[in-house]
Amino acid sequence: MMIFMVLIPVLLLLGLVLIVIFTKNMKRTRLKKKFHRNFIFGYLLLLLLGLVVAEVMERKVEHQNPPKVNVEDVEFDLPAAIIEGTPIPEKFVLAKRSHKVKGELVIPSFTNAYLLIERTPDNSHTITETVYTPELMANIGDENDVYYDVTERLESALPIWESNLMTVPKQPLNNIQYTFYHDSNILNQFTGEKTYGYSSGSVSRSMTIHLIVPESIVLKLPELENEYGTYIDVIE
Amino acid sequence: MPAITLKNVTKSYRSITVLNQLNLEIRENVITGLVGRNGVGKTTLMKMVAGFIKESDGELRVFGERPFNSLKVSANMIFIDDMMGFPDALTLGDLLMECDRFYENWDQDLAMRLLEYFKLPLTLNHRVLSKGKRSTFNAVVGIATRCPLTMFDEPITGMDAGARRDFYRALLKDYLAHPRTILLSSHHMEEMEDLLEDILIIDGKSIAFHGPITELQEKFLSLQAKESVLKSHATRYGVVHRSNAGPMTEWIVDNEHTEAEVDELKQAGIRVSALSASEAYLAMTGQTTGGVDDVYNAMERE
Amino acid sequence: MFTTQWSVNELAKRQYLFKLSTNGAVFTTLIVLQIIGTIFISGAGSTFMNDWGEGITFNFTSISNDGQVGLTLFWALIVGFLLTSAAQRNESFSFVTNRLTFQLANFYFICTAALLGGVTTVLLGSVMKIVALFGDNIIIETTGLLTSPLDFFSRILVMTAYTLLLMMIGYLLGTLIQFSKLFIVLFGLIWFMYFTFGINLSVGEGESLLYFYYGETSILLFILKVVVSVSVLFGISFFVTNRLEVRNP
Repeated sequence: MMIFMVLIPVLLLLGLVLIVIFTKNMKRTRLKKKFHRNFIFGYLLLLLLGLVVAEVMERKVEHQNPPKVNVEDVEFDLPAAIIEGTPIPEKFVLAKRSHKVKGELVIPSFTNAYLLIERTPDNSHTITETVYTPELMANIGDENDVYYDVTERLESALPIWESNLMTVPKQPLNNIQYTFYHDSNILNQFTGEKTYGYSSGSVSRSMTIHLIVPESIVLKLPELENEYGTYIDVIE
Repeated sequence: MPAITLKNVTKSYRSITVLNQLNLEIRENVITGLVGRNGVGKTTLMKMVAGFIKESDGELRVFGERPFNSLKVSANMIFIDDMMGFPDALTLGDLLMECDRFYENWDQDLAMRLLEYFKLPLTLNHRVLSKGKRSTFNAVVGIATRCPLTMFDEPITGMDAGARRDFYRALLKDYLAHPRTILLSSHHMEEMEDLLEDILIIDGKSIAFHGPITELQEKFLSLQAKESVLKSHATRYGVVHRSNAGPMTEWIVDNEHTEAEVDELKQAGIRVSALSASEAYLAMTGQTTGGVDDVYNAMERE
Repeated sequence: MFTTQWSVNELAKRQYLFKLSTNGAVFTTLIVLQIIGTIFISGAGSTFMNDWGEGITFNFTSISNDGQVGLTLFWALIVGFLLTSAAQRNESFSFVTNRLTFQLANFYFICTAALLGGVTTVLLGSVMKIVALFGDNIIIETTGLLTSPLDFFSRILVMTAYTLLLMMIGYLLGTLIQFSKLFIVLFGLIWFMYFTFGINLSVGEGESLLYFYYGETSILLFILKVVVSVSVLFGISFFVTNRLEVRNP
């Protein structure tokens, strides 16, 4: 606060001095009054041209705002839903496969994915695999909790099965870039458009693999180094 | 009806009184010269008449209207001085167009011709003009607006002799063709003497003289003789001014002598002569030679 | 005798035209400010980055015409202030005017400048939009002129109104300072008090001054508020200037 107390008057004074010097100089450089008129109208014309270009580009340039989701959807707890068996929206399912495995299942260490293993008491040799998409939702300066669902843009690599070995390949780096345009809040007082704050955030979840493994199959899991590295959960 | 009427008009800034209780009537369609020493309030009087500043007390009327905030007075009046604020952004040509916009009697043709004569190109900016050229331009504006009340405050500041002569000549010619009320203030009274009909002398916050110029000329007599002679003969009337020039002493006295009295003075060997208006003005306002000498003489004596 | 009689309206109009022709630099300054501002802002859109350490990072560049809005409002305050300068007054009083027509001309000029400020700032939005459209994965939150023309014009109205308000505030401050330099001390004191005792002016507080305008959701009430405020500001300026002596060193 105290900084503003000094800063604002200083800025105002500086601006005053600059604008005075600038206008004085402009008057002195013997610009004819016609120059100013032409300059102003030229500028307006240019801006109008900008408006037309923007209108056209907005239609021509292929762009579609990603779907908006409410905060409740953002907070959808996928692992809990899997464990509790509550219905999971279809859109989260990336792949559903089953694999025949005899004896043991070896899973080497991997990164950037979450593995949930559910044991079933049957003696079959079939492992049911459901891969759920990674997820990314972004809140861009929106004070209301409305998120853009940009999941579609994420890429993921499915696990690779070779007889009794499941490797989760190194996941592609998902570096999502967005350019976001909105008019100043001040201008949108009566347009019904939301106001934007300066906060932003995103909610993301890595790819989730859900395996239903019969108890007859022995699991050989990598050793977990520490608690934070827990990316494999086994539900007994 | 007089163009300007002042009744007990006083102007003061806080505690300083600049003009005190002025009573005055300026005749319409007459050129009046406004003279006085520096700082006696000539400019203040004119600015008050122009409506720029407000009288502190009394009644001031210009064509029957109070000038402060009067649109009528402003539209029929122009006040020319060397401090006129003309915008930097406009050229002389643009300024003439603006005059045309604001003044109904504006004579564009005359203004252009005068500027051409005074070698002032229309493409120049007012700001880049030299002092004399600026005064010339302002004076041209003053002449060509043909306002019913035209006031020039020290219009010849910085002008060379030729320009001064031309200005007075142009003003007179235009006045004869288009009579109007003109107030003209200057220190160079001898130059404008031929032009003036009336003279208004302000001295010491009030009016020292106001009337036709001939009246001023007849107001005083100059008596020249040895001091002793003057002291014995010219004692009857008020002495306005005394000065010593070599062996002769000059007294300027009120001209209330009868012809017989003048003859009497002449017989005593005194040179009696009339004064010019500017000499009379200088005598009245104590500006005659020797004024400042007295200061130094006094210092030497102490 | 009088040969010329002007009506107040006619003369105010002529003084206004005169002001327009002598103050072209005021508009040119705005344009130069806006151009410089736009170049700087579009060169460095604010980028935010979110990295959750899961191989997923999300960057976005937020582009808007906030900067231009700020610059224009800043310009408005200063121009309002500058219009009260002695030079401006002397220029006007070199020609036919009284204080009423002088003030009216100033007011018309301020309205014109505010309108130009409003229109250019909103139009600059589309320039920024073009900049945004060259980026990757565009999200555009603001609808264009064709999609919702009413919104577009409401933006111009709002921006013009705020520009007008700030100009009138600058004009009043300038007028008061021209009237007496003691007001500088007073304003300094008010400013100091404001920060020391923290009278809250921030947006979002139900009773703050800014919220009085910014929190208004009815466009008609907003216009009413602005009109009344501008009238009051102009009224005070008029009252103060109407007794001001000009060309008075």
